[in-house]
Amino acid sequence: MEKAKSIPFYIGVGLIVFLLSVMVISIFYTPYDPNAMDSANRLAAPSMEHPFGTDNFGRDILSRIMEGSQTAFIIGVSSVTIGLIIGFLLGAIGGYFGGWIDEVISRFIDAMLAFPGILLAIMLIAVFSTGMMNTIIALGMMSIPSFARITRSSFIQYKEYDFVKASIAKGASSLRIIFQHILPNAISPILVAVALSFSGAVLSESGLSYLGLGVQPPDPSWGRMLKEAQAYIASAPWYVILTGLAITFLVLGFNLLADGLRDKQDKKA
Amino acid sequence: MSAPILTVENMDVSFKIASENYKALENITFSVYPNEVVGIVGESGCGKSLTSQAILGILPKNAIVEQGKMKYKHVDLRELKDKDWRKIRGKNISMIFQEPMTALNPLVTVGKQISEGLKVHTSYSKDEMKKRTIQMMEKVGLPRAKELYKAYPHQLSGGMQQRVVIAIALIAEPDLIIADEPTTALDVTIQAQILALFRKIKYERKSSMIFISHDWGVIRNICDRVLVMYAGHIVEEGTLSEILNNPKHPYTKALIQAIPDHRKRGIELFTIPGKVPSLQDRKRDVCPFADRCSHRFDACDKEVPKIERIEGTHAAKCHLYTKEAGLHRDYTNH
Repeated sequence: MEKAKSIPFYIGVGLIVFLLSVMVISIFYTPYDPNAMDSANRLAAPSMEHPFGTDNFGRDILSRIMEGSQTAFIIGVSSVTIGLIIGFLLGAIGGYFGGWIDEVISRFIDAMLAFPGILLAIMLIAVFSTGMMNTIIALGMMSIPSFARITRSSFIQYKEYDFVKASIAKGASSLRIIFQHILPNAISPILVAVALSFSGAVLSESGLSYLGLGVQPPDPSWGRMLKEAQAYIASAPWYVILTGLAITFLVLGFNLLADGLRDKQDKKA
Repeated sequence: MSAPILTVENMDVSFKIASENYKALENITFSVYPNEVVGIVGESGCGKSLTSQAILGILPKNAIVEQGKMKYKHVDLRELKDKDWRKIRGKNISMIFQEPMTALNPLVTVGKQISEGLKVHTSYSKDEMKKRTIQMMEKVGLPRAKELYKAYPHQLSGGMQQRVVIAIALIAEPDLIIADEPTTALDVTIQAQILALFRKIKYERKSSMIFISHDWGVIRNICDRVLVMYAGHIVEEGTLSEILNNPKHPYTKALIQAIPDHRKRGIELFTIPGKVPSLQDRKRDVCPFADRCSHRFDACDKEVPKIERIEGTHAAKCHLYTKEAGLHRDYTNH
């Protein structure tokens, strides 16, 4: 029973590890130059030469998907880091200290939650213009509320525990209690949130790029590839399918990881 | 007698429940002198733990100290800012918690938790801190201290966990240790070991202790002076022998009468009728014990008795002994 439950977790880890190694390899090696055009070989079907076929400019799709994985990971990692740091601090301060400061933070988070995340991102990009950096910031902002809420509820729970009171009785500072005593105990729900918002960020980036608001050329992006592929959905279906699969696998990997982590955590509790 | 380490004067603590104020501690006055162990006894819900939490400023969120003075040596504890509080907690006054299971952080190693007091209050080097921590672990009777330094709380037995909690309280060498029922969560054999450890601490170290318990056996073993609490009041105080051999307050008498003893084998054990009234059901401005008291008379329902000195250090809060009401009554000691 215990084994059976963790199978999705290992599939998730497997997918992530696989895509991560593809990403690492793509830094040093891609079969073709991802931006090299070959007008004689436009929209070629998958073959020995081009395993994933070529796109409308004759560029090797496999090389482009590999290159695109870098963007996906950079955006995922950076935006989750931004969301995690700001969200954790807001949630920890609100949950631990309570009172008016918690009121202010909670209302701020409520306000952010009132906007659909993607709309908030579009709004930010509309104000600050497109580009990799702004996409990261916008997606990071989008994930702040979920981190803040999860952190806050754990802190509210743990601050009433005797061991927290015991550390206060030792003379420990609030900072020390937050990071040394409560954080290690609150880490597992936060990890689940990290995995979930990573997949959320990848998906949202693809969505934004599909709308032309995300990563701009020449930075490769799966979302933009999907947009380009859409025009050739009938003549070159492999383009859209293979690009879509790449996104699906990455998102699925992180979702399975999150599910598995949550199961483990529930078992512990 | 030298100057007290801790003085508490006329302290009131209230709970705010649904915007209503309920007095949980009333008129708490006592002192702790250097090198003495003061016991606080009483049934559950009498305010023993609350008193200790109020002293350390770690009351539950909805409880507040309404009035009164609390002084550690010359420091007014009620005036302290957070930063100055932190210097006193652990360093001057420390606390031993009741449940070792919950008082230890499950995800931090034992060694780290003990040495935290040094990290916060001293500027020792890492090696020095580790050395002192291991010494302290040996002092409180933890075997294989070097190995256990890296252990997590769940790897220890209940008795060992309580030794860790005690080591945490002792590490920064405080003058005043508050022990909140430190033996209650342990089984009897371990209780005896921990009590022996407390006696050793008492004789080896020059620090005062407030020892909270509802177990007379424990109190008798270690305390010099005893405060008896009932429903948020200190109803009697005196030296251990005054309280045990010559109790004055009907509540103290009843409590002592209710101690099980091998000589009472076969006889039905005495119990006090009724129970401690809950916070919401407490009557104001009458003797808090009147409802359960076998000596109740008209004065008891008129006002709260003042604490009356009986002789020397012995005092009781009962109308039988107040000048206004009690002295006119012909009351003989049982």
